Amino acid sequence: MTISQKDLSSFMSLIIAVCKLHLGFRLYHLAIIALLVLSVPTIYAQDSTYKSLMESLDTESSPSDDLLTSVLEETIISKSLNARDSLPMILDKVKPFLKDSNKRMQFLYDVINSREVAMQGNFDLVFEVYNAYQQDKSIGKTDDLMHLHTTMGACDARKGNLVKALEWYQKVLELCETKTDKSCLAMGYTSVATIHFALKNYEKVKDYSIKSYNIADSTGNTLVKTRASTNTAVAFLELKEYKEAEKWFLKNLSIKDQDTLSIFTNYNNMGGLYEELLDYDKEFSYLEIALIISKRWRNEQGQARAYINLARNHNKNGSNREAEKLYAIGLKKTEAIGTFDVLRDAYLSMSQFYESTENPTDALEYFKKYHDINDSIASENQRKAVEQLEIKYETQQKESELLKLSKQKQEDELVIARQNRRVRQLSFGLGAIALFGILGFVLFRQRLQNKKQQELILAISETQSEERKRIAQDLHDSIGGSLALTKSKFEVAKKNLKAPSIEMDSALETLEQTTQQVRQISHNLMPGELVRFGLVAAINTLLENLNEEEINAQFHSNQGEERLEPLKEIQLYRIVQEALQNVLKHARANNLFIQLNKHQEHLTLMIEDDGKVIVQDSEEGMGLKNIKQRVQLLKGIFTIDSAPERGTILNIQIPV
Amino acid sequence: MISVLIADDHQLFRQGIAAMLGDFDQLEIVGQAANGQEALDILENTTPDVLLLDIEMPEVDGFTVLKTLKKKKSPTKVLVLTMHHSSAFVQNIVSAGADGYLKKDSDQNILLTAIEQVNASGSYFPPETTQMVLQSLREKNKQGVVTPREKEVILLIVEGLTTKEIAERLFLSKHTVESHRQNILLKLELKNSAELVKYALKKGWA
Repeated sequence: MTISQKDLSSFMSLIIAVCKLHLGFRLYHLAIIALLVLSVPTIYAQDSTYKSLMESLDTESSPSDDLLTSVLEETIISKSLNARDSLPMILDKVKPFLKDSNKRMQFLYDVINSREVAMQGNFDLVFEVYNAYQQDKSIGKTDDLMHLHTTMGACDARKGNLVKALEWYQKVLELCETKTDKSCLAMGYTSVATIHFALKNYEKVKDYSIKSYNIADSTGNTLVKTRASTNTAVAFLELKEYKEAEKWFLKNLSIKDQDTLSIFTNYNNMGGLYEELLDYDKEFSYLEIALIISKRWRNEQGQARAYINLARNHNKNGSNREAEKLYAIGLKKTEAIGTFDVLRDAYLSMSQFYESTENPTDALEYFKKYHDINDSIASENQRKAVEQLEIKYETQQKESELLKLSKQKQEDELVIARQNRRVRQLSFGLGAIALFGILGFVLFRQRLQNKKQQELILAISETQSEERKRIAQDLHDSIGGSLALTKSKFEVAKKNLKAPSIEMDSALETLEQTTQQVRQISHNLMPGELVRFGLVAAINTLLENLNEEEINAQFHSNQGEERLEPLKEIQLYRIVQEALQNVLKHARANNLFIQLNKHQEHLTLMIEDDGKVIVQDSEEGMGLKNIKQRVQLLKGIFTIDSAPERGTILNIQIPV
Repeated sequence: MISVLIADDHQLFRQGIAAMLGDFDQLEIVGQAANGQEALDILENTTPDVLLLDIEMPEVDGFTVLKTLKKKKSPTKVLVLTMHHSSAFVQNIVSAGADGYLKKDSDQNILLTAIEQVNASGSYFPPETTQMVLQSLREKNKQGVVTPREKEVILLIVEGLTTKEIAERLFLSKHTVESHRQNILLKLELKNSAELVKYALKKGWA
């Protein structure tokens, strides 16, 4: 065994970084790392079957096809973790002995090779391999098909095509169900968990991962065990259950013979945990080790993550120059690999960085980039599609199971099935990004989750309001004022005319209409009363402009001139506007009562009319949908009561 | 001769008004201000009879000008000339100290009338504006009265029905009935349902 200068230097820097972790850092971490640094070039596996296979491969000068196939088969299953690290070497060893006559060997080699290439960010080969073999019946084995589908799923997942990825995993699941050995389910759960990772459904990630862990534990699949425990830990971290997170991280650390990817992931995540606990020094030390590990084993994606995380750490510690440098390196690497989630996290982190350094232009630019990716990935559509696909699969599973049951039992089962819907949903899942080890590793930056999204909606809503306010004011004062003046001048000119002029009258009429329109548009954009005097005045003005013969409207409020937060005022005003439009356009009501009352802990907005009932799916139903969304934004409760002959009551409660 | 100061942030409008008022011999334009601060600066040294004041202006707005002049007990009468037209707006400028109000698209002669009246009698409001404000005050008086549906709810509370029973009887959700109950108590300034029953009996509703 030889150690190059480069190995030595990276080993030394690793030792230094490790020493920086003064507290709670166990000695055996050091031992693991030292072992890994020194031994990677020769150690294949601790797994005895695999080890003896590899030894034979090493000694035989012309290994038999059977031996080569066995090695590849063991590799593709890669139950043993550190087999992963020796992938390139195995591929090199096998390559000279490949021949056209042995199709199966070629197939196994191609799949493993395409995975290895995909790890570096190039998915093309995976698709080529799939296209080459998908129609080929000669490869035959169920397991092989599962590998192929899993690889495809992982690629789609990595590109952000979550629905497609889930479809692949479900295909693998179906294949797995046909086997007597159900251990492949463990990998499946972990794969499905990664999809929920991307969708930020951390509860589901947790559920799938724990199930996966339990199966992997009983079948001795250390690879899945490692991935599953990491995912569980991160899910807990995202759910802010730090004790549980730590417990699972420790569980993960106790697994022996981990591959370098797992070790990287672990350090990266431990960094995440300490960031969450605001211990930035400890975070730094963990991240530094993560970076060294990923550099040492040329894990490009790991490096990208580590740089971005380290940059954020520097930013939090106040060294912004260093942070900017690291962001630049991290971004370059991230953009080179092009994995959607790494990129998404990187953009958000950079946007936050520029915001903290008071550079709003760049902050906004990166936020837009983040937003673009996030929109396409965690979009409501993807989320819904995944949900539907899961239900569809579940139903299919259910149906085939039901066929096996007697009629009586069928009925019982249906009842139970309904009760246990949630539990059942968890009991499928398959595929194996984990095998691939790409998505499964920790996205600890994703903890922006719901809170961030809510903030985002608020931010957009507020920016829109500001913009509208500005346009409304310009329209109202500038253009409105000029039009008013023009009108007055025309009036003067008209008086000076010697004879009446129809053209002049018509021009004046048009001018008057235009003035009115500008006023109306400006008012719709943002009523001046709302901005200046608040919600009560604005609603009063809204009702003032109604035609009294059309409807009798009354408004009551105990709010007076007291102001609410701008967002609440604007949203509540829009709700009243929307409701009013519904009533006027569709309900044909005679009376309208609006009440805005502040109670001890909440504000009630009640809008009653005595008109025709509004059908929810109709055009007017759209208005109701908008109202509902606005209420949600204000974290309020919305109920509609309607009955023929009585009209509709919109009842809205928002916290104050 | 009535001396007039014009304060408006739109140059075109300012000049237009000045040109229009130039037709009248009884008026003299003594100055133009492009925002509230400029107006206040001019008013430090001169005391025009009438200030034509826009409300929406950058930096120092019309409201601030009104309040400052009122505090200083300035003899200059203020005629607010604005695009805004609502009772809330008019009520607010009046309480801030405006002596008159006119929409920007008013006729040249009405503008002259307004300036003359503000100068002579101390106030001018167009008839339709006065009408609008009075109507809104009348509406406010109507407030506090319970709606027909609330009265229905009150009667059922007096009958001793629970929220759930009332909800079933009126085909409403419990949530809505509860909101009705809370709104009723708030408007009638009562503490609880027992007081409401007493109130309803006293009023002869039940």
